[in-house]
Amino acid sequence: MDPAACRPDIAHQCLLMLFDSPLNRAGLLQVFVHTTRNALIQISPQTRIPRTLDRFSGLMVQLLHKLSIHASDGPQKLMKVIKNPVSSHLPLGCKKYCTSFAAKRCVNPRELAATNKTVVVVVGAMAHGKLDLDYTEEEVAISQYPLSAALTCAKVCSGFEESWGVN
Amino acid sequence: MGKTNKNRKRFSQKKAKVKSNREVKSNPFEIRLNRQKHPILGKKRKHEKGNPGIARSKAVEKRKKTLLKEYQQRHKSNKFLDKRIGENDSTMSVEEKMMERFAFEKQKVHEKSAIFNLAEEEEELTHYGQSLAEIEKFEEELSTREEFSINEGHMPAEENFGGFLSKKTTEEEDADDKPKTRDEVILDIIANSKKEKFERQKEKEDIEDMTDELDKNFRDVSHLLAGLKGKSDAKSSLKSDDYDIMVKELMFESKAKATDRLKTPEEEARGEKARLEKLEADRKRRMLGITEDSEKKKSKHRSADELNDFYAIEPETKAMLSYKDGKPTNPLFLEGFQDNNDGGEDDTEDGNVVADDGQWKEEDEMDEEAGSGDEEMESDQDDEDIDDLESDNESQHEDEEAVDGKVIGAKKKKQEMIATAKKELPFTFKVPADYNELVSLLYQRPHSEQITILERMRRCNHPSLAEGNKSKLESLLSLLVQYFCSIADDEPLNMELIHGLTKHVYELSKTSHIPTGNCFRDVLIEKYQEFKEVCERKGIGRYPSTSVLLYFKLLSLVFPTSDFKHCVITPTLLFMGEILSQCPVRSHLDIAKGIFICNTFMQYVHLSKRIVPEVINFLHGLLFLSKAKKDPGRLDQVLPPFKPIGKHNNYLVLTEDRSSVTTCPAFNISDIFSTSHDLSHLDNDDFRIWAMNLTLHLLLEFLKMYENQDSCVELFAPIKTALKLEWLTIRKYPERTQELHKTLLEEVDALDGKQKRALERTRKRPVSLKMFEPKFEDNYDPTRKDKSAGNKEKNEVRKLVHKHRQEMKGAMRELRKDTQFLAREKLQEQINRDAERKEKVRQLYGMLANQEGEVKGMMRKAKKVKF
Repeated sequence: MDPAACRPDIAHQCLLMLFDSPLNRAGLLQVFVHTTRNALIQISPQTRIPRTLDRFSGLMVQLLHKLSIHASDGPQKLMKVIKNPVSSHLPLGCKKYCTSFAAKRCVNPRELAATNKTVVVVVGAMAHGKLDLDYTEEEVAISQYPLSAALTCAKVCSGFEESWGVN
Repeated sequence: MGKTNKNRKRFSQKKAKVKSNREVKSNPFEIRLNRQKHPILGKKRKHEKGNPGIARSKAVEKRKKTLLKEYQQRHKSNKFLDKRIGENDSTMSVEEKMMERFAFEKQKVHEKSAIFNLAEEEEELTHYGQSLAEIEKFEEELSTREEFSINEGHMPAEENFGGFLSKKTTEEEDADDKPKTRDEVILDIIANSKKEKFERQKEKEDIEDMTDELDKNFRDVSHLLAGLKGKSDAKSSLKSDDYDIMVKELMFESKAKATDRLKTPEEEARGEKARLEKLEADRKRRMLGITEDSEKKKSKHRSADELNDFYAIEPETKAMLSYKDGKPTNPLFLEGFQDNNDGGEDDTEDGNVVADDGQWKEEDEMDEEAGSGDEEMESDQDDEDIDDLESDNESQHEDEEAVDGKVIGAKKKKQEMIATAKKELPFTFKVPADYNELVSLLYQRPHSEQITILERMRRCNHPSLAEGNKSKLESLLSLLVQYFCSIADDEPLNMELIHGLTKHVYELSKTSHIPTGNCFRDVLIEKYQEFKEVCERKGIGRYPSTSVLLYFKLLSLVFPTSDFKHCVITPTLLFMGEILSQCPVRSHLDIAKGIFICNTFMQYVHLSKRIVPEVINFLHGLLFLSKAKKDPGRLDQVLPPFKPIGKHNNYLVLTEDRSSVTTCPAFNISDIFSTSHDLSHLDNDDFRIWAMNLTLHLLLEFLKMYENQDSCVELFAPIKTALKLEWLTIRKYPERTQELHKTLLEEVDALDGKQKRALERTRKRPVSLKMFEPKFEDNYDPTRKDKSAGNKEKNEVRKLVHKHRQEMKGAMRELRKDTQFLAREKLQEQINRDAERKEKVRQLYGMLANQEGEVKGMMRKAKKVKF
């Protein structure tokens, strides 16, 4: 495996952005992580992501070995490896967007959350390459410029917060 | 040529063999790959690949060698046993085996042949039960020896001197110096070393045995010795002189113990800084009235970026059952305080009524009249006062009465001593048992000496020097507080002594918190009761004596005044407020006292910024007193204790225009207090200007302090109207006063511009999801499968159970395979047997057919012959 392709730091940054957002604190966000080795992880919104990459890596190692992580001070299962494909875990009939710099349509994240229905946004937490997904319906860009994954997450979150009145 | 051909051929054969082997190995159908579900980087796997074909054939081979053999011999009752000597003994070499067998064979042959050989059997002859043969041997030996010694003279020499002088015969040499083989040499060495080792061991054991025995013996004897020793000790102790005692003392004296390393100046500074920071944080917390408990209960907000997932242990602040800076941390104490308070009031109602008119500070005047005849009476009265003050210090009180007579005697003696050696101060002082003793000790000494005495007293009775010193110092503190109160009423005031005393009181108060608090509070209660009594008697408040005012000042130095709730300071504030709000100004001295209290208030609240309406009202009243013309038709709006109409209302009105005076008059507050009996020098314009300056100055300070309070505008509204209405004809005052007036007016005006926040509901925050820490190990080791049960025994049991299960599984698998193998073999046997039988039948048929054919042929021939 190419060590350059392993970028847990990007995933870590993204998760920090997502889980610290008011959108998540309001309970309006559900995060799934899909790895290159096809492991699918569901993360509870109540998870406090470890602040350092070191600890995050340790957490991920343990998760991939044991397939689930419990809360240290509660009965909750905070993270678990679930069955593929991810589309079977998404609500029926929701709109699924894939974010990409190469997409032709550039939208403000606010527009993605125009309705009160569930929306799925897929963000690639990788340094190079493009998402190749079969379940997304539309490919959108949220900026004319290439954005880092973490920034994309932050922008998407803030867009949804604006649109849904979470502040 | 032929050879090379041959070689080549062999080589090619080998190559072919190798090739075929390799082919077998790399046959992809032979290999089984175990797929990994979740590949993990850097993990070594054991069973990635398998060769099931090879493994199976190996197993079959093994079974053929063992199980099949057994199976084939299952009905056989006899079998070969290999009884050759040493055949199953792996330790014997081939030669040994051969030798053994040979010997055995020989013996057998010999036994057989010797059966009939009678002559060789020898009967043992005995003499007195002893074998004759032995006796003979002995004699023979002896005789031979004698023979040797006599005939040759060669043997003893050899024996005695090791024969180093005489040369050995060649024969002997041959026998001895047969070249030893290497093995023999090594064996020799080994034997020698073993022998030596054994000897050494033996010796050691012997020594140990001996010591053990000696010990045992000694124990038997020791009790006898012990008695003897004790006797001798007793004798020596009788004789021991000072030197011996000293030596023994030194022997048992505790040695210097290891202490902590001395801190470097930087470390000390850091520690000091941390301590101060902690104290400041503590003070702020107390100012807001947050107890440590409530702070602990409140869940702390955690920043999203906080790192303490599991990193730092949160420092736990323990609620301590202590008295911090004079403030009790447990509410029980406050209850106690109230109880005490009630009790104190009862006490004073019972007795100790002060009879003097206007002067309710009479017991403090004692020092002035010290030395006169009624001193004893005074001191008695004082004793009683002390009793009331310190109702808890029962024991002390009892002591006082007991030693009362003694004290007087001692006092006189001391006076004589002072007279004789006035200039010489002793270097050690006992802590006085009661107030009289203290007074007699400090009596009529210059203040510097008094301070020195106190200094030395504290040095001699430092808590670290002896047990009980701490309580002594506590009692000293209460005595000093009383002494402070008494000298504070002196006229003239001895300010230097007061300063010196304050220093000591301050330092003593730091040693123990609870007694300090109790002592100060008791004095405060007493002062308040006196004040109350005067108020009730007169129906109107009277400004207390100087001692009370200075006591307020002292309290502000000893205790933290910014606390939200403090069992000494809070009552003090209320007391001061009561004085300001209930005592009408009746003299110039009252004005000075009022200003002093206002100033003290300023000191008390400058940190906590607590609003004190009494002060503002009093200062407003002072402005009113300086109003020149009182309009009889219109009453000015003043609040009690000031009245719109009264004879004292023009105390601060300037009699003449002083605007030309450039220097502001300055009065020393101690001077004013010192001359309370003669107030004539205060009735002049200088005092008025001084008072007005102070008033304006204090107003300005308070205004600055309250600037950020919401109610500031309302609080200063009366002041503003007073200033606007020109109550004081400001043009008459000196320039400095005018300036102050102007700034104050500007500041008060500036307040109007401030906008107040509208009252609003507390906003409800949306409920945030509760976040949980994921539970994971810091040093997670995926290779370790399960965690230990925590108990060593349990772990062991678990391991064994696991092993047992594994073994069980393996055994079952093997057994299953065995049965399969056997079944296969049986089937093969059956098949073979069937085939054999078939073949035999076929052969028989063939034979019979042949026979039949032959018979028929013969018959045919016979027919032919017939015909």
